[in-house]
Amino acid sequence: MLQDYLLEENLPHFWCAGCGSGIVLQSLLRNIDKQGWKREDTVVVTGIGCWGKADDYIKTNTFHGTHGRALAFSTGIKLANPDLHVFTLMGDGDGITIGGNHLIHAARRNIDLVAIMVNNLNYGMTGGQYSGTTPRDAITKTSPYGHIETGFDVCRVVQAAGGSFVARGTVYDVVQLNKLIEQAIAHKGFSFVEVISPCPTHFGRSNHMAAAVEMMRWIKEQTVPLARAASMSPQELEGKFVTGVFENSQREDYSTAYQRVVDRLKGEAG
Amino acid sequence: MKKEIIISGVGGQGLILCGTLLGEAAVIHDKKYATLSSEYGVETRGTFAKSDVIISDREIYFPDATQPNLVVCLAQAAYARYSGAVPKGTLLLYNADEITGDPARAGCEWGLSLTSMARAQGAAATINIITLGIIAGMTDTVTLAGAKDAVEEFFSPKGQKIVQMNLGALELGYQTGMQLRRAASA
Amino acid sequence: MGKIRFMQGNEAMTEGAIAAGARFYAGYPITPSTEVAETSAIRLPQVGGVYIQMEDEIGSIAALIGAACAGKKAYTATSGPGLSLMAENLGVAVLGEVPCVIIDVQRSGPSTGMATRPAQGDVMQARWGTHGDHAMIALAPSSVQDCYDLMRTAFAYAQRYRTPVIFLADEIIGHLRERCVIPDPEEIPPAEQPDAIGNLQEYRPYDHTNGLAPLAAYGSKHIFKINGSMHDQMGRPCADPQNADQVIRHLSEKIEGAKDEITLTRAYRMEDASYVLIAYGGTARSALSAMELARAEGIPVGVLQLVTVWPVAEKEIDAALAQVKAVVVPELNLGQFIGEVRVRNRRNIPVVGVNRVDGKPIEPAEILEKLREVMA
Repeated sequence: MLQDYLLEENLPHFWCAGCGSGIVLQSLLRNIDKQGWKREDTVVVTGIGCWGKADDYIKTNTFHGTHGRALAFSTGIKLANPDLHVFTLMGDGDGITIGGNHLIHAARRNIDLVAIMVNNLNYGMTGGQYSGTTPRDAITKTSPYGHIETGFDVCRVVQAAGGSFVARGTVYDVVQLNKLIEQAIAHKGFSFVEVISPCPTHFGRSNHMAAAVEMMRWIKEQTVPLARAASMSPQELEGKFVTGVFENSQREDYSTAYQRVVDRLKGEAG
Repeated sequence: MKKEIIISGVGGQGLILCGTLLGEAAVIHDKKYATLSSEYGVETRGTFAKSDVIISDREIYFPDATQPNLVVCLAQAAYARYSGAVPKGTLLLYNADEITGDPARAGCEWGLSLTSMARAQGAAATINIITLGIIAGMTDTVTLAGAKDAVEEFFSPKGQKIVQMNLGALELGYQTGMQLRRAASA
Repeated sequence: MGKIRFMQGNEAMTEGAIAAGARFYAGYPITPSTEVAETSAIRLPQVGGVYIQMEDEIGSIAALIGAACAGKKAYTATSGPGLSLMAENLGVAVLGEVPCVIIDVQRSGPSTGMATRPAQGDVMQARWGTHGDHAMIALAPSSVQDCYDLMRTAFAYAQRYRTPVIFLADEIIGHLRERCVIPDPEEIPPAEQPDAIGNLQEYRPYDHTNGLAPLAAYGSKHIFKINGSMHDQMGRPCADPQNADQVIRHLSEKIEGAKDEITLTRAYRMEDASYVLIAYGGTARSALSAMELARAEGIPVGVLQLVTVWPVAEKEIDAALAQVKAVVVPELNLGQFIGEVRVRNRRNIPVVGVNRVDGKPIEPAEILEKLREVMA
């Protein structure tokens, strides 16, 4: 039951109307619930930002640390007790901007955890400034004349860094999102899911999509499934959100590799 | 008994190992107190470095040599720093194969052909072990038995051949040190 | 009896940490602390512990904190530049009340400074390195034996007060090799364990109404929230002014109020002392040698060594100030601690520093000279 994982005493939640965070939270908790784990064996680690508030509504163990460092806290938790199921919830600020260094290294090490980065293309909590994923030309509070930088394709970054499961979905397609999170949980190793999510309050309002439905429609229009993207030119794919599973490969995770060293030393000593 | 020794040269000459083995011999085998503090640059190789070793019957507080009994110089940069700068009564020993000594100080400094001695032992790298032997022979810091134990323990993972070569170097250094000691007191 | 070893300070810290039950190290190598990382990388896997080299010091302390929440005694080693990066998450350990031990082998600063040269320039950084009101515990070893023995104390304090503890070493001690007695394994007392959490209906990780609740571990029967933002007793975010006031006062009070337990000092020849040298860390050894030189000249000098630098050993400093005619405070900085002595100087006696920032240790003769100056 969703109620086994949703901390209802803290509801109503903090997010704005039209925000996608609640959709991702529901998808995540339903997927965790399906696993049949003991609740005490799960730890949810969050960063700072709108999506970083998710731990307020989750009944498992939680850790709420600092902006951008969620994966580093998670690394310590997972390595200290590899039996724990660790989920790391980050925004685009946490995940790829201030915390980009931790992201590439957690992917490279193949730490066995599920990282869900909700990408709303700007800093929502602080009022709508640009982040490392804000698209070129977008208006934000700190790019009032149009953004001159190019946003990261975060999935490509994580894939290049060695993440063994890498996928992108959107809150528009919840069926796909559920499936991606399900696959991420089933995968052993660093499992990364980027979720494109609307921020009508800030990104939307600054870019002629103040109504929640307009922003959702825009995400739908910008979305291209991976299969279709294969036949499109780079020009056609400019600014599009390609969705699907980019990487799903088996590679020994960090804790397993580390345990092999410990066992070998034990064998040599004994 | 309290003796202060400075082993100086450039990084990569095994100065710290020499000091460590001296300290191990004193502390573990001879049951004395010893400290080793080193000074070196950020470069691992090639710039001035030194190890201060203090050996005493009682606890040592300040671990840098302020009144050295013996200064060993294994590189010109080290010699340049210490020659003429050591307190009266401090013995300065230098590797004459590497260092051009100041003729004006010939009376109070002793040049030894340490590199040639080390090569004769089988490897120039044994220079730090010869130095260890000289220090043991010249000063009442560590016993030859203690130094032998320390050398043997350190080199044993590298095989008997290396152990024997270094024990030979130690012995040679020790005999040299004894001779210097006799000459100094004469 | 144990085993006598001729050991380096940094290596002794690793052995001391492991003997104290530490089983997790996350760090980023930095001179002059690297030997702690290197020896930990060898030793921890041998005892089933975890060593990981993180991408930076920010991540290192984050991993420590995470591991501590998952039930491991965790430590790291760094130097000034790394401690600067750790400042952010040091605050998470403070407000999140997560025990961990941070070794700072101080080197000459600011910035990259002189990597291989000793200094004690991080004394104030240890106290106030992270933002916001809080108390801090910092222990300064002055011998290789201290590096081993005090590590147990550091972990005990970290756990008892649920706080980060700074092990404020310096290059002098970190790289010093000297005699150190390592107890035989069967002689090592068991590490201090947290009090049983008991059969509380609902575990409250931040309940400090009757002493601070011990920290449970993720994966135990308790489910709990650790929060680096202001929180209530359950770890839920809470912006209530009364709650915030209580929590922040508690963070200071739990340490300042336990000063008698936390402050460790050593008095040398204080019985008949008319002058006192107050020193800590590697500089305490310069002070002790200076004391011997002065005593040989018939000057009645004692040394008060502050093993605990933070919180301030108020009683001991007060007693020394009441006893002597003048105080000399040698520090390898421009006088970061002397202010703590001066604010307690009710009799207005001379309190003077001996300060060196050239990357060289303070020589005993310099202290003696200063002593003669104040006596004149």
